[in-house]
Amino acid sequence: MRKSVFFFLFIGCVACSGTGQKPEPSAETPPLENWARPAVKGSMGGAYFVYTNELPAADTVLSVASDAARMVQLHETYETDDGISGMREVKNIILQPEETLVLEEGGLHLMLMNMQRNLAEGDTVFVTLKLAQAGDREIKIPVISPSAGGEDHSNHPQ
Amino acid sequence: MKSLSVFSLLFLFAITACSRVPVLDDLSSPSFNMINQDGEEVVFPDDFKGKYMVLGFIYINCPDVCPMITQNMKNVQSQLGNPDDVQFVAVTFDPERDTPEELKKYKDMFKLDTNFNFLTADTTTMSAFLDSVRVRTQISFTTESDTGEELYFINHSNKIMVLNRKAQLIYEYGGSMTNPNMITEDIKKVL
Repeated sequence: MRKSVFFFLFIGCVACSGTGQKPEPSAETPPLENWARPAVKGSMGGAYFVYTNELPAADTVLSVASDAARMVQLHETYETDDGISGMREVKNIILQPEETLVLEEGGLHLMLMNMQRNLAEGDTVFVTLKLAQAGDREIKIPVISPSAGGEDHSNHPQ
Repeated sequence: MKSLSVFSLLFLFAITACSRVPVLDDLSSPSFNMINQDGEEVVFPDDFKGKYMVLGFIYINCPDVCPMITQNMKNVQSQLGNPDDVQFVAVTFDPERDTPEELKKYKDMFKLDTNFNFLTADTTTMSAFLDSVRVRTQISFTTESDTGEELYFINHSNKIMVLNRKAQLIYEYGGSMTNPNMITEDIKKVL
């Protein structure tokens, strides 16, 4: 009798053993490739893209510019030593032959500072990568409102 | 037969006792005087008690993590079917730049409804509030624009909280990296 009581209590508790502390799995969303967030004139904006060095030699990203912002930098999101979220500029990225530079949410991103116009879904941003070997490469980036984490982005235009 | 009934009662008791979501922290006091994106004075958490709350922390000049947090909260709201009894609140930790007017523009950019509010406060109040919810911030670096304007960025805690109707913290997640499905499912359990 006593064993049975403990058994039922055990089963009952195991069946609902939540603690309130939640694990944090990564979102399973396929990343967009080229896209920019909607942004407000005068504020900051963010954009993401991929670029592959197709030259037979290594190349270096010297700077980035855009028609949409007065200042543009490459930044990366990182976690500080004391566990908070930070952001810092990354300069002189070197790309080996066939290496792809990937800018994506939560990692490397394009920092559009002092936006010169509002960016709304459907707009386009032009970004110019200045490379040591390849010269200037223009990238066309559509403005998209993402559904981060949980919805499929795969049908968005690239 | 009698012992079966006892077992059933014990089983139900065990489930009921265990199904209460543990309170991780009591945020029901103190209260903080804040302003929303429409310039309306609100008292946190007093004006929000009686409903569940999904609470996030952002600043507008953050181009990567904070939009992800905001979008995750929006997705949770959408997945829940935009319920009236769950309110969504995002508090800025950059009150000097994130005025109600700027917060309104940010809210409009995300096309958020009336049940989604952005709050700011004077710097003293905001500092005390952030301490109470254990959100840490620090200026990470500053740079100068081509017009001589100083731009600064902020390192910050990255989290989303869920509060119950008494403004007690019951769930806490990584803000930008958590799949909103998980938050939605947790809230459905307690509604």
